[in-house]
Amino acid sequence: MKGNNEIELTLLLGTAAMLALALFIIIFVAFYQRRLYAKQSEMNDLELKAQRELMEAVILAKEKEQKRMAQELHDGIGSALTALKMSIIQMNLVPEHKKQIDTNIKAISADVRRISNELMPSVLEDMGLQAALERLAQRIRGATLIDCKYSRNNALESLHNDQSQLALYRVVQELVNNIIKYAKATEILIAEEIIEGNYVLSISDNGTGFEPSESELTKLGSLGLKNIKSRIQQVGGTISYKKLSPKGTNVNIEIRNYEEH
Amino acid sequence: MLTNISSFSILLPTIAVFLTIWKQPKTLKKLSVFVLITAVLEATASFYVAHSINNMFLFHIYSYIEVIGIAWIYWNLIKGRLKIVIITLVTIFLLFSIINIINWETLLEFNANQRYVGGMVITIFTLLYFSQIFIDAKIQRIESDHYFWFSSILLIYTAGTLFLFILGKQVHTEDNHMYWDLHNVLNVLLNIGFALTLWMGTKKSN
Repeated sequence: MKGNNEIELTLLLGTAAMLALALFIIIFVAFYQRRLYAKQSEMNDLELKAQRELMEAVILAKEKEQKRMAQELHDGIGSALTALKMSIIQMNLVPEHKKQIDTNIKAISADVRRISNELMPSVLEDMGLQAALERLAQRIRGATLIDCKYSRNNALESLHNDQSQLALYRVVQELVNNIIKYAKATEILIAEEIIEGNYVLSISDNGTGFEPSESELTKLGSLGLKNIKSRIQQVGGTISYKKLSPKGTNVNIEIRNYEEH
Repeated sequence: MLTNISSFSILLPTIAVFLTIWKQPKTLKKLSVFVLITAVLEATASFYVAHSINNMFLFHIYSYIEVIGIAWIYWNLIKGRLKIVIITLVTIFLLFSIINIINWETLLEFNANQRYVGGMVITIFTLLYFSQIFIDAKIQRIESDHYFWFSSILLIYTAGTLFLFILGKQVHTEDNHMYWDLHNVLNVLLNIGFALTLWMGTKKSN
């Protein structure tokens, strides 16, 4: 009987001790994992922040370089071509040849202006985002079969600072280029409005439709999309893509509480 | 009374299997197979008891199914090199079981040694899963991870039954009720845990 009691006691105490140990392990796992996850998230956030900063620096350097190249083209080659034109006028050449050379120089000048303008649109600096977008839509209508419309909202004139104007213009430029290249669209509509204090810039088309997943937006291959996201983040905005039914895409760029900026 | 509750508690995960079977991911399908085999064994064991026939060989069979079945489930949950540990432990368990039958516990005796070793093996599986949770650090809310609950309940069961199986021989021969009461309570908990895992797992994958 005494032996039986001893076994019972050992059994009870042993089982209780083992259960306590198991519970301790489970609680430890739950708490420690939570801390570990928080730390891991913090590290991921830091890594993302560093990546974003790097991307911003790359964009900034690219813009600077493009501006320099645009100026070089405009001031250097543009002036050289003008000087060449003047020299040719003074030369004793057959009038037909003079005319031919003049036509060629004009064509080269136009190309230089176009390239310079694409690198850094002077209209953006001189007249602001709305004029630049209007010019962009006009250029697309002229160069492609796409009917690109920009619905100008005069109430939004001089709403953005220089950095935001450049970022938004570059994003629209990239999105429109993508539509021309891949969407097989015949119409593009660019529109701006203020909805409940938030600035919304939308680009819609009637093409094949495109809605990238979150992973596609962050994966290394889609540099264009990453650039777009990064530029939008730079101005404190968000971007969303929506495939329309039956066809087309709507891209919304939203900057919250814009009037407070 | 408690024995009956324990025997019938297998119905909980069995019902959960049938309610969730169409929505189950691969790993939960494995758990379902394990639950259904256990239910059949439980029913057979109850039938043998009702007819006063020695059902100890069913405990031996259950031990193999328990360890191999749970190893089969953890094979999906544990990644990389840690899988070698699963193979090694199952091999050790099978070798020990054969030696145990030949030398110490025949098919007609209670397999306390085999269940003790099986329990240790399952404990290591659960600890491997916990260590993997730490390595991955991907789960945001651990309380919503059904495999965390699955592993926790298995750990509680194996920890709780460890002393039962160490002292199994002595207690069993002396026909001690407390032994079976403790085991029955832990068995009910285990079955509730299995049902919860199936329910949570399919709810999450919806």
